[in-house]
Amino acid sequence: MNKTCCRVTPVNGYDIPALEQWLEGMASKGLLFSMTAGPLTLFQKGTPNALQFHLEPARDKTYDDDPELNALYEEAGWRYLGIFRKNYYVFATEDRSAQAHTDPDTLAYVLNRFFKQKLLGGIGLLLGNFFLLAFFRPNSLSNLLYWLRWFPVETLYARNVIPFALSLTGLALADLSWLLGLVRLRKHRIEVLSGETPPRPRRSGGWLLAVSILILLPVGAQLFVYFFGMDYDPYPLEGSGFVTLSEIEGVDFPLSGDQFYNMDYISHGDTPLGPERWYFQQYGSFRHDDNSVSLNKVPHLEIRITRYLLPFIAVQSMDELSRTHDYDYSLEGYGKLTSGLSLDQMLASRGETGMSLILRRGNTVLQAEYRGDKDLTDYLDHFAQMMEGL
Amino acid sequence: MGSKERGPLTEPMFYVLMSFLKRDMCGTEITEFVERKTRGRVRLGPGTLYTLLAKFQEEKLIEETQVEGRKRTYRLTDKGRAAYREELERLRACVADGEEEEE
Repeated sequence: MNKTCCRVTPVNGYDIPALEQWLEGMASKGLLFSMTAGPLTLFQKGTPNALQFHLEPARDKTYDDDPELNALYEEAGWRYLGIFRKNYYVFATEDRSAQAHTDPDTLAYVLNRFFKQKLLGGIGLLLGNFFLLAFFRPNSLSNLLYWLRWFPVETLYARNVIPFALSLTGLALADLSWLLGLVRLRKHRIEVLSGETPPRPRRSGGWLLAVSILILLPVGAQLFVYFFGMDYDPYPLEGSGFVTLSEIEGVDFPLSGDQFYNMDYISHGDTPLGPERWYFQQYGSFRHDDNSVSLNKVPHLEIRITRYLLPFIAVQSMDELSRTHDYDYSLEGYGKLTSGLSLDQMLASRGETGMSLILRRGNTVLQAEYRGDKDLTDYLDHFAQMMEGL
Repeated sequence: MGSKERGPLTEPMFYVLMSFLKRDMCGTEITEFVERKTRGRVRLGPGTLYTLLAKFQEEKLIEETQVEGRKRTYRLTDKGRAAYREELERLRACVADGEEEEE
C-alpha cells in the first residue's frame, strides 16, 4: 500500500530547473511527487525510479487539470502527476532523452509569460506588505529604542511591537524569496534563448518562503482574531469575584450613574500575540458638567490585570509598573509587602489621596489604583482569591 | 510570431501552420505530419505544440472546430493562411538571394 510523506520544498518556487532536479532526486529515492500544500510537497512512497521531470508553467493560476495538455504529453510518453502550487503541471517520463520543449523560442515565450504573471503578482505581495505593516505599526516609532530599553514588556505588548516585528521579518523573507525567484526565472529564460544547457545546480532558497510562512502564521491568527471580534470577551461583574468600590467604601456609598465610570461588567480580552487582560473601574458620583472636577480627586477603584506567557515576563512587568506613576505623583514609591497569602510578589504605594497595589501570582500581574481614605491592604485576601479564580 | 512586425517564424511554428493547409488537424496528427514532412528533422515536443496551438488561437491564426473528449481539432483561419504565405515568401526570398550569391 502506497504511503504519503511530505517535505518542505527546499527550492525556490520559480526556479524551474532546480525544482525538476529536486523532484528527480526524490523519485530516485522512491518518493514520487503527488501534490503541494503551501511550502510543503507531498510524495507517494514507492520503488526508486530514474525519471525525468518537466514542470510546464500554467497559463493562469490553476487547480484544474488541462485535458488537452495531458493528452499531448501522454502521447509523447510522459505521465501526468499533478499540479505544483497552482503554477505548474508536473510530468515525468522514464525516457531520459525525451524533450518536452523542442523550440527554444517557444519555451522562452512560455517563461516570459510566466515571468510577467509573477511580476504582476508582486503587486499583491506589495499590498499585503503595506496592509500588514500599516495595521500593526506601533503607535509611535520615535523613542522606541528608549522605551524598549527601560520598559520592554510595556513596549512590546502595549505598542504592537511584537506583531509588527514578526510581520516585518516574515514579509522581508517572503519578498526576498519572490525577488530571488524572479531573478532565477529571468536567468533560465536567457539560458534557453542562448542555447546554454548549464549543469543543473543544487540550489536552495525554498526555506525562505517556508520560514516566512512560519513567522507570519501567528500574525495571521492575530488578524483573524481582530477581524472576527474574538479579541474582546467581557463578562458581568456579578459573580466575577472582583473587589469593588462598594465593598471598600460600603454599600451605601454613592456611585457614578454613568456606566463608563461605574462598570457593571469586566472588560476582558485575549489575542494570540498579546497577553490576556482584564480591566474594571468604579467611580464615586461626581458632577460630569463641572470641568473643575479632577477625576484623580474622585473616590474610585481601577483594576488592571495582565496574564503573561511566562512568569519572568510578569516579574519584569511588575518592575516597570513600580517605576511609573502615570498620573498621580502624590503617591510615594512602592514598598514590598509580606503576608501568608498565595501571592508571589506584593508591592504597595501610599499617598494622601489613596494608594496603589501591584500584585503578582505566577505569570499574572494585578495593578489596583484606589483613591479614598481606606487601606487597600485590608483586601489583600480578596485580591488573592480574585487572581486565583481568573 | 511571424509577420513583419513580429519577426520570422521558427521552424516548428512554420510547420505547425503548414499542417493545417489541406485539412483540419488535432495535436497527434500535427506531430505526425511534421515528423513525416521533415523526415524527423523538426520534432515537436508536447510542450512546444501545446504552447503554439494556444498562441495561434489567441492570435486568431487557427480556430477550434471540434472537441471530442481530450482531443481538440483546429483549422487554419484566413489570417493564419496569410501569415503562412508571408513566411513562405520570406523563405523563398532568402533562398533566391542565397542561390544568386552562389552563381
